Amino acid sequence: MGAPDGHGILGRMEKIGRAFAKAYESSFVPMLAIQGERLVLRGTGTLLAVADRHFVLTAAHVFTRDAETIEGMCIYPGGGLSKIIPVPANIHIVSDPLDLALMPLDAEAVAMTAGRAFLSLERFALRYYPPEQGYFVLHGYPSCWLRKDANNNPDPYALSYHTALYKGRTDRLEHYQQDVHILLEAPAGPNPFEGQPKNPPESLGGVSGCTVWEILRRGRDFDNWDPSRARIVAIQTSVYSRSGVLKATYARFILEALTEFYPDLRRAIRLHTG
Amino acid sequence: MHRPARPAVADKAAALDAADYLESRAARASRARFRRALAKVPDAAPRGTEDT
Repeated sequence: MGAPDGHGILGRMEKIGRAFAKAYESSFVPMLAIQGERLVLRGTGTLLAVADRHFVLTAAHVFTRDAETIEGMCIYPGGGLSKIIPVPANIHIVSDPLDLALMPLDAEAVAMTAGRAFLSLERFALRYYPPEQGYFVLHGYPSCWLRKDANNNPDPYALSYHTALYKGRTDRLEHYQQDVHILLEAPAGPNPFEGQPKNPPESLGGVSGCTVWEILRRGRDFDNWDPSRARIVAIQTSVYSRSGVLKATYARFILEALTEFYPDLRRAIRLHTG
Repeated sequence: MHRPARPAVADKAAALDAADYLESRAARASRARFRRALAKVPDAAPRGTEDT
């Protein structure tokens, strides 16, 4: 894996990982579905607020792939089954190659996310092109790690891992478009983050739709890192298992989707884009 | 700044309307079904989890 290695760097990256999780973990939500009598984690959402609107941002295929087998889908912000938020009817979907979804939350749903933090567009890198070398963090909920707790409530284990840009061949990566997608290396080695399973999950199913955060660029100071440096640069949309590569759609397309679906938010969006 | 060829968000957005479909699916869900499905979820921590 091309992520930073060496004990010193790993130690510092773990420290950054802890600070990152502390700052942003409350903005990520697992998305559960009943599929063939089984409870599965379909994807990971990120809470986003623009002006007075609230959304869950994720990948479109979290809703659409094998949709005929879905029998009920919800967001689980934690706190027991009484807190589950059913998926509303008015999801906005942008299909391939962008594979993005915006799920609006009404006031009642927002109230059920109490204790969770909605991110503003300030966290998004909306004019982003990847550097020669960068370090990234993804935070999602693998379906194979879904458990229930002692109170019989869903207990999704989070996978938070750091990774690097993928620099290998791209000709075999189906549907990859350089101007639309960023490519990252999939987790392969032990997971260095405290409190998480040490081994990578058998499958990354459930991580789909999570946000990809650039946390460092080469040459930037590791030791004085603070969470305000982290920026969302993309939304994870697929995994090339054979190549060990993750594909993610650049965050700037979220902005375009917001503008398309919510013309009344253009003014608020312009405050961020200048 | 380099401006990529836009994959036409508007076109892609118009191409799929899953709302009605999802709504009908959601209507079939119930808390009882959810609990039945949850009953099949393991309660042991994933392999390799610390303090297990």
